[in-house]
Amino acid sequence: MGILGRMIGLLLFASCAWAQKTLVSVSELVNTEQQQDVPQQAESETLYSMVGRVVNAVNGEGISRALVSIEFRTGTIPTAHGQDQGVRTMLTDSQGSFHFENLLPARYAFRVQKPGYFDEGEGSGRRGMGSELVTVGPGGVSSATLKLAPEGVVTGRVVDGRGEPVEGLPIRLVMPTVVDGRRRWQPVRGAMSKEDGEFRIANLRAGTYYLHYGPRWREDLFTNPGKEVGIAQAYYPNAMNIETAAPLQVHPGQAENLELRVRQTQGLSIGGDLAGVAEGGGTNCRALDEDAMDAMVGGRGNLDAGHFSLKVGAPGIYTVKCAHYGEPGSESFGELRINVDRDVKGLRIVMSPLATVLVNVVQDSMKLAASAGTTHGAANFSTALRLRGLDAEHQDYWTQQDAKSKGQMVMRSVEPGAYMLEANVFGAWYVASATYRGREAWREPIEIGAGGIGELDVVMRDDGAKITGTVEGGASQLPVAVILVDESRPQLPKLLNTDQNGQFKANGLAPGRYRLFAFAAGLGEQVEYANPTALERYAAKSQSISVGAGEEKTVRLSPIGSTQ
Amino acid sequence: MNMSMKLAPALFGILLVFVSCVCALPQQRPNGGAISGAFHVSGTVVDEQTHRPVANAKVALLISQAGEEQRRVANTGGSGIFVFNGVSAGKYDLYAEARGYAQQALNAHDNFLTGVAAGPGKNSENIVFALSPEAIITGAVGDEAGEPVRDAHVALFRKTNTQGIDAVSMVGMQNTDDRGSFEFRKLRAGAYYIAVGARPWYASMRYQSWGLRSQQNRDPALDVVYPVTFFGGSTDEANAQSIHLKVGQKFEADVALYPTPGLHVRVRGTAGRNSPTVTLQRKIFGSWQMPMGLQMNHVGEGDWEMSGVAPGRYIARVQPVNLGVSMDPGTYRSEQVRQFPVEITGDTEIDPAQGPGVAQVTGVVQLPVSGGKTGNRTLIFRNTLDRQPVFVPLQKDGSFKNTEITVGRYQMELTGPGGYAVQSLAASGAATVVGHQIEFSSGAAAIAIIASNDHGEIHGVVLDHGKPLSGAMVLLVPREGIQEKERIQRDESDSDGTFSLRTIPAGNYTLLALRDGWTMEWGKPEVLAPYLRKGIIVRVGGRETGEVKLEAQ
Repeated sequence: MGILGRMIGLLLFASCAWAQKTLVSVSELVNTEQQQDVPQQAESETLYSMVGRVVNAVNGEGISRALVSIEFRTGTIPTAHGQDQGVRTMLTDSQGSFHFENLLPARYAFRVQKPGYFDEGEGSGRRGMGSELVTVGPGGVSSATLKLAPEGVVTGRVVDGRGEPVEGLPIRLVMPTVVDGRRRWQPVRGAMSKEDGEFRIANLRAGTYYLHYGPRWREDLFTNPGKEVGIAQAYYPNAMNIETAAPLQVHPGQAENLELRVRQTQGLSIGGDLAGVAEGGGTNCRALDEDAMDAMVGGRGNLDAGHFSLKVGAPGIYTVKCAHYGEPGSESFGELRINVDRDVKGLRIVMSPLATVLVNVVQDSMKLAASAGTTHGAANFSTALRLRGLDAEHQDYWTQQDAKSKGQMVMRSVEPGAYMLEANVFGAWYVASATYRGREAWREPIEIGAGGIGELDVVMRDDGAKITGTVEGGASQLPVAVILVDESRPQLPKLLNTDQNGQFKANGLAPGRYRLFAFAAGLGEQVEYANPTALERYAAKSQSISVGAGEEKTVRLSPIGSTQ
Repeated sequence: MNMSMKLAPALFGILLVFVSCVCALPQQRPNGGAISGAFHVSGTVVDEQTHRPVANAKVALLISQAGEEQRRVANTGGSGIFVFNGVSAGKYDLYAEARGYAQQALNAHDNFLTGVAAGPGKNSENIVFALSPEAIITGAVGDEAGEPVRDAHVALFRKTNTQGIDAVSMVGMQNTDDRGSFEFRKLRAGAYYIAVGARPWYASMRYQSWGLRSQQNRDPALDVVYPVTFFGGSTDEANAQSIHLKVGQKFEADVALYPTPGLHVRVRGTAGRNSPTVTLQRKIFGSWQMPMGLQMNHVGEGDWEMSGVAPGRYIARVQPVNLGVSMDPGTYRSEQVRQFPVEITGDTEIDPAQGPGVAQVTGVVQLPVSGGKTGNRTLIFRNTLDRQPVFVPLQKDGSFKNTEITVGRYQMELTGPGGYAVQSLAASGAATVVGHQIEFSSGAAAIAIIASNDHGEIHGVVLDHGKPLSGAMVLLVPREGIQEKERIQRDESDSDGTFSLRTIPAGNYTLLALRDGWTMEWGKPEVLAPYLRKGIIVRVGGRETGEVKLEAQ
């Protein structure tokens, strides 16, 4: 059975009262059909009804006051009827039932919402769509059962070693999530323990979570100067990293209750000097643990004078990152990885100036050249370039070319590190090549060193190739994720979604060899497509295709791993 | 003794929990152990109601010396007793907190406390520090079907005696959790109000989901709003029910919200590129702004419409596009935000051009001949309606020209070097001096301000039948009367009965000490009059410092 069939089956009559109510609706449906010659209707179209019920996916009980929306998608144009302009909504009654009257035969998107509940399908590939398509009219359905999964809740109490409640401890639930094809530990929801140590995190989808807490330190009127105590960051229960942490299974409609026993610590201090900090501006130092999570349980420093003094909660390997902000050109950055097993003093972090990247874009138009009979033509249009940090701790840098920039752009205050270049280009244009300080910068990561000005030369052409395609069975309701991998730079694949006809297209492609994967709804969100090794296991079901300059090719893909 | 400004906010239960980076830390560095000497500060922390010792209370002893905060901390253990040995002579602030008690200063009233004087002949031991048990207000917000309302804004207001007049001010804000619950802890006894703002989830969710382009799609049954609702069920703050919270009491304050049709407010001529921005603000008890999350829709013909507006009294703010472009001193044209009250009871229109006019103000601030530097001064017009300031940079000769000021009454303030304050005002044209404020009407106005840094100090001791009295309220009232509350100065007498009043503009005053002033509506002339008659008349002249003995009334 397809997803449609799974979600919208024939209405099951749960009780007599309910059945009667529904039958009334069905008979109204018949009446409506008979009244098709009502004078105010310009067209002699048949109108239909849709009845249904919203139920709790766990216990099958009807859910009252759920908001059901039905939105016209494709089919008969409904504007002839004043009230039918797109969306109609209603709240379910005390039994959880709803009915929509006077619907034109068409395809409609259904959606159901209620605080404390999740649309069952929403989590698996339909996020953003959040709706279910149904056909109303001949051959369509006239009733639907929509399921909502109740939220899960995690509650608990934080106590210290003496069993005293701990207030003000930040707590967050993290779950593995794929963002832009990369696996990340994404904080989902958080809370702060209250005065009695209690915390409560609601609105959770069923799934596996890890609980991360801390760090916290407190410095107020009543802490002895210099003797602040803190709580180190950790995963439940007292695990230093996620590998040794206990997963929390959150079930729909259930509350998980935990006791968090945390240790107060005076911490280990990490102190030293910063070398090469310019006058003025401000300096900020942080200590991060091996998961790149904030790890400070105290500390302060006269950062203006180039000293830092931080505290971490437990022995381990930490990275101290310092950044100095100020006038352009005076900004600097430095970091030091250090094994802390006791108080550490006298460290020296050499600050490196941030880099400036000068971007020169050459727009080499093959079309203009062809029409003018020359070998090169110059165009001028908007291009956005991005340096995407390969290390999770490095941010991205953007620059946008406009009519004034004449192909010259600047990215300032770029932290040293490894980056991949990305381009948002218009139409058939593509990046034909890029070099940074004379080295390959399109197919390979760019290593940006400390300080100075580096030139990034980008050549763009407008004879891009085009790949269009169809995903088999993709004309169903949900978009299928198509991953397009440029085999010459597999680090940054493109994610394309199929349209409602199951088709996709990619233009502005550099001539070369491409590999395409189609992932069924749900799976596309989970695959680490930016990781060539993770994609490899699906290679057998992928298609490889070569395109030349200006060439257009069509492929037909079958989706990998449907969730059904 | 006046409470240290740095510490006063901490008394409202703000925890200094640092979870962010080092750069966020305040630069005051506590200096442990610097308080040392031959004296002792000791006492017992007791429950204000039961008078029993409070176990495991934390006590902090603070002194401000040479601009640096010095601090020592003690724990009372099981006995409630705290001892600070080896304390040098001086005046200290004492704070205490314990589980189940809010953080308090010794004998705290408003922003004043009884300072502890340590030194030869001073009794700084056997202090009884009465902590009042925290009171708690909890509750749940439910909707018309009795279901919990999540993420509702719940604001807690307290009736306070500020400058001798009862006023209502916001003391806490929370969002409800998934059960619709909220909880305000560590509250003091007093009169409280609760205001709740929320949007019906089914109305707001629909907007988010579908990004409605046209208002025709709106289903009237779902185009509803919750008016701001007070505990007790009223949607009008004048009829809001107050909660009289007793010391240590736990009060349950559930609030139910009922929808009303969402009103539509059309704003004329605001859709163009250079058109002003119009927003509606809902101020609760004249101070706190309830977030409303209003939806703006473009409705054609160059107009915008705000939908989902709840009935109520709003302040419409019109913000010009070219806000603050010219900052040239002296010719500062403040294209300032104009605001005017609107009462919305049904679908309506707002014309951004409506509302109060502006005064074109030209003026000068004169410093005494000996005043030295005149540069870098800014005159502040503070609107008495909403306390919002308009900053007007002055030229070197102290003048400014053609500044646009929205019609209304303003308090005049001066910033800059030398500690100069506004001493006297004169006005002509569309401006009238009302006490130490200026009322502006539409048109051209000229004002002249004389500033002075001629300040005196008064030090003294409050006596009760000849013996020093601590905890009394000391009031310094201008001879003109108490109409201008801003000019009244106060202090609380310390453990040795002493008090200090500083930066007093030259003039004649009445000085008095009240035993029960903290619970008295002394800001009302009829209440204060009998005490005023028995006060001491003092004259504060150029930079003089007086020493006064004051018998408490």
